[in-house]
Amino acid sequence: MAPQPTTDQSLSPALLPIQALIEAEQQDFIDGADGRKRAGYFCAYTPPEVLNAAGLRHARLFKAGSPEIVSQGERYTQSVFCDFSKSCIGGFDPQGGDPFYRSVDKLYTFHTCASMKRATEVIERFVPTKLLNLPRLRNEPASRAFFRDEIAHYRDDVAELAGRPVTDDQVTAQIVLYNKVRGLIRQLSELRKRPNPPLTGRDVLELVRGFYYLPPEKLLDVYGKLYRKLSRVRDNGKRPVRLMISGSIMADGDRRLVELIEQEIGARVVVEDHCTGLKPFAHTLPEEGDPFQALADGYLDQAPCARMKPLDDSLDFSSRLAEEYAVEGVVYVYLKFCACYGVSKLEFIERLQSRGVPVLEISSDYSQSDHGQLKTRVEAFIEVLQDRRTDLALPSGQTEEFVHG
Amino acid sequence: MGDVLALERGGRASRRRPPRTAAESPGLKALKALAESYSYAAIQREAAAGKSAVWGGWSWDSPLIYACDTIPIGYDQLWFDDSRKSEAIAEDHFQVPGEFCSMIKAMIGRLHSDRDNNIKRILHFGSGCEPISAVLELAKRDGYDVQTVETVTAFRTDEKRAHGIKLLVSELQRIAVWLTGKPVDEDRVAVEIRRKNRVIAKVKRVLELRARHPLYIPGIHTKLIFMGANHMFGAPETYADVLDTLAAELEQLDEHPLPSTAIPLVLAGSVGNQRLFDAIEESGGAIVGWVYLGTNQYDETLPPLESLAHFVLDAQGRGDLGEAVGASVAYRRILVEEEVRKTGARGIISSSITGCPYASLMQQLERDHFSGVSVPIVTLETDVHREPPTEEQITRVKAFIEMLS
Ligand code: SF4
Ligand code: SF4
Repeated sequence: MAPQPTTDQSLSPALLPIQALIEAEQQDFIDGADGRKRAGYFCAYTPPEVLNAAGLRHARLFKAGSPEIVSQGERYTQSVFCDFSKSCIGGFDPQGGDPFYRSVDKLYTFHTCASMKRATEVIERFVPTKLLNLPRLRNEPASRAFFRDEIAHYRDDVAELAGRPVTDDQVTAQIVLYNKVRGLIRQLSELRKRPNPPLTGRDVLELVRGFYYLPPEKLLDVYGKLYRKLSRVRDNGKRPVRLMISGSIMADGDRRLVELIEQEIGARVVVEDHCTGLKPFAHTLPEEGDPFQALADGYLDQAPCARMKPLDDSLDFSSRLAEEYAVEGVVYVYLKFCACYGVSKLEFIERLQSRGVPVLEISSDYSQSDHGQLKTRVEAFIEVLQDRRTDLALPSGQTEEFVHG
Repeated sequence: MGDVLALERGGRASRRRPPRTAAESPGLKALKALAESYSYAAIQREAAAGKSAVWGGWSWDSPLIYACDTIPIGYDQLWFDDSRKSEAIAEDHFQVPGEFCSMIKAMIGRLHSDRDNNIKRILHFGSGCEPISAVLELAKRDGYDVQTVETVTAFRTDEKRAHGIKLLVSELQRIAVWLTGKPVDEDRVAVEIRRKNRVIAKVKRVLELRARHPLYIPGIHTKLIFMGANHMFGAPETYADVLDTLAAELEQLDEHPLPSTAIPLVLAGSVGNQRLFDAIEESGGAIVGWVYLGTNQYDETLPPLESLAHFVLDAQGRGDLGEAVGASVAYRRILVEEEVRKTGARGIISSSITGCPYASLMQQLERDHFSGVSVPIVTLETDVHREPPTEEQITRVKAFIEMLS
């Protein structure tokens, strides 16, 4: 039986079938009726191509956002970890964790930030875990060669979990397949370059969620259909204020800022410069030659996380994206205790401001207690952007009608 | 700096009658003088006179740095003084969020206020702490040349991968070229490795002797001995002489048991503050074992750069060089447990820096473990400032020791 569309009010109706598919897939993942091994991973630098080539069920584990799961994690950590890393631990907690996390047979963690490495060192008490190296120096040939070998090592471990060899041809085929899916996400996202985008930022987060939970073959079908449908929607001329969200990971479940911006205030998130939005899909992997070198190069060349060096690459990407999507302002959000985005926030903010893009800085966690204050700040920011638009567009004193919702 | 002390070589001090109290100890006086000669101001003076010096490189990599005729400077010099002022600069000028540790703030603040000084190169190991990695990016704004040794980690003691060793070797070659403009002289590195091994053997001997006379070398001096095991205060031969002198003094002491009123303790981590050591000693505590930095040797049978690579990957697994090398949080408690068993200690003082995610998790694991096996443990958090600890901290330490008596 086909999964029944959900009724989530925060999503455009066209996205509801995808949400239903995700939910059905997650239930199947938990049930494990097909007997296939299940692999989980945390970070956008983990190549799912290899997991899929091995015939594993797999998912990126980025469900977080609730204070309850944070407090599960706090049974093992102290407060100085970001709420995302605490939630990762909490999800695996044998007493009261998330059934989706608990059903994973093996966890793969590429060593992104030190907090996630630490979190994994706790989690390995609950589930078999493989930690892998991820270089920081994205432009050094020696680092690329090293990453290639590390991915081949990952392939060996994955093959052992799957109980079958993983051939080079299988990996190449998956690179080609995933490139198509990434391409579709880019195409869908590009619809947001229109003055009145046919899909919201909240919708795109759902598409990304789909990427990390659904098999790529299924994604080609559903994304393709969605693209055909949305690209026919007429641009009706409304022009919501265009925002980019930049910064730390935005977990599956951490939707309050986007919902506040889009549903309560009526502006529009047209692009995401974070690793659970458009950012990981901006790049196409090489499809020729040694597939492990292709994965190494492809993942190092993707839009960089702030933990990569040089940081300038991340700053450049951020401002290019803002320009490409003609954003009027950026909301820079970092999770408290996120070293990557918290300590370097000044660099991001100044770089964007130097390009004439106003930035609102938000330090966030999953406590949910600051809704009123957050709303006031975002509203004030949007008002400033509206005033700027009026100043820029209407020097002759005409008035402009803005879209709120 | 090598000639700040004119000690008799080869432990000749041992032939004299040893001082009855540590206050009269020539070894401790010499140690203190040597540590003072390795001050920020002294190194700056040497740099101004044309000596090559670099921030960092003081840990597992110090033989390479010495082989490049460069003085490696421990980051701790950055918060040795003016740390409050530096912290304020970090928060105001660089907008480092308040939740981060005093260590990174003092680092970046001090680098900023001394930006016109002569030491403009910073060496950093990517496997270590994330906040340091992030904050050093900000130092580039002040014209610092920051070089990162690529992130390579052995996540378990048995997981040293050949491609990780290979990458580290090529990274060390790259660093040598950065420091000197030419390829490294591997024979020189081999000489430095042998020298460091000799020094480490002496450190080990002094610590073993100290365990028999725990009240003779006070905590604050013991900390200096540990620090020297890493960077040798920029003067390896002088440091070796200091250790010989101390060993000779300790060997001459009469063997007698600890007074029955003394409470034997194991200290895990570093306590930077004299008043805390005083509090331990005034309450009758005796630090009979200390788990801080390891006293393991480099393998002299390997090619020298490979030897450095193996050393650091082993240290990560063993947990004995801390977050500077990205050590696993899971292992320190094993070393602590061994130390408790070996020394018969009645309690553990576990220390960390406030806001350090790495140390906080390690402490949490220690707390959980030792409570489970009924070994009393007290956890302390301090910052890098040199002001006296709070009354509350002192009271906690005293109450803990009283509870054990
Ligand atoms: S929020 Fe930052 S520190 Fe936390 S897991 Fe993500 S990148 Fe790491
Ligand atoms: S205290 Fe911890 S988090 Fe802070 S710089 Fe030191 S190791 Fe890093």
